[in-house]
Amino acid sequence: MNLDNFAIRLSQYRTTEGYTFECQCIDGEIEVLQIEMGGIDGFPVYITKTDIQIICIIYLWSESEIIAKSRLEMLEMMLDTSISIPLSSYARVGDRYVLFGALSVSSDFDKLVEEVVTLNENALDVVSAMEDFLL
Amino acid sequence: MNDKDNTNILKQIMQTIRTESRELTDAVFGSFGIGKIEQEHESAELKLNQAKTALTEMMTKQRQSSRILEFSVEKINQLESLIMEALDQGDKAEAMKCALEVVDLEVNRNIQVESIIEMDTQLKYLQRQLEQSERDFKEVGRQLNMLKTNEKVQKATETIMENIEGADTNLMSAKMSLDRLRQNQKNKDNPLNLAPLMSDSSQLKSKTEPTRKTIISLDSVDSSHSAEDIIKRLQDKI
Repeated sequence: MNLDNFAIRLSQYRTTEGYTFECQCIDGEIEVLQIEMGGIDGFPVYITKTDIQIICIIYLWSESEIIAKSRLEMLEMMLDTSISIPLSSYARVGDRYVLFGALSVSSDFDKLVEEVVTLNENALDVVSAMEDFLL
Repeated sequence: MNDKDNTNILKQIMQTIRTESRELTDAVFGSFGIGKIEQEHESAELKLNQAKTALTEMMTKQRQSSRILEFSVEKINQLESLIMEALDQGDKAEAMKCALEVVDLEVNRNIQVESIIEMDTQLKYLQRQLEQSERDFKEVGRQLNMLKTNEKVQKATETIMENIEGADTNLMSAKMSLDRLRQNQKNKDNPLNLAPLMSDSSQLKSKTEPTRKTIISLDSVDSSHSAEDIIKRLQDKI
């Protein structure tokens, strides 16, 4: 799926739950789309594409935000809970912890919308659940 | 690092992340990196296409041989019928003439059968080779994708962070974001936000019972507050 086409379509779309989407292409070496959801207080979702997959990312927190003595427990907690989180997984990019979902480039529009919404809902749960490990 | 380690891209990425050594970074992203794997991928694709062409040619030859064999068998059957007829009519000369043709055709048929058997063996071998090449091709493609994804996510993150820091928005800690979201939620849940509805009785009637109770309790809180104000104001006058 072409990200520009997806952005145009998503900007005009409203889910059955009443969520809307504000899309913005970010200039840079790599094609990145920023999506902010209307109707839910959440985090911006960033989408980028490789040859075979579309990756949707939410940046959660950086290393500097973690309470040092709780770090190991937090990492174990993330490993223990990762499989329970629907359609999303944890990762770390540089010093930033992220929640991400990956889809095949042949995924249709509805699947991508589902990923964006679910990722946002998951991120809210994750940050709320991991709050005690953060400064 | 042994050979197996050298071919495991994920392991090399892990080593690079763990040590952040320039040498290893070069090992993954440099000489053994995207350029080399892309070359391997292209080379594998070329070999795969060559193998597919060879397979297609071999299958065409096999079909041609099969058609020649069918023709020979059919011709032999026809000649055998003619021999039978000639023998029935006592025409031994004609029967002999046909029999000689059958001998030639049978020799040709046996050559075709051998050729087809040989081609069939070669085809099976070529198909196995092709399957193996497909696996190798996909494996190189998978490794290439891992490298590209890693590179893309890194670059995308740099782009996003530059953008966020430049705009000086959204860049708040997870805790701050959570607090902001909670505050927003609190504002939404705050009964004061329902005040405008109280002026519209039709809307109020349509609200659910818990909502109406909230509005009523809000009303009483406001009245109590006003009464205290009045008493305080009167006490000040005394």
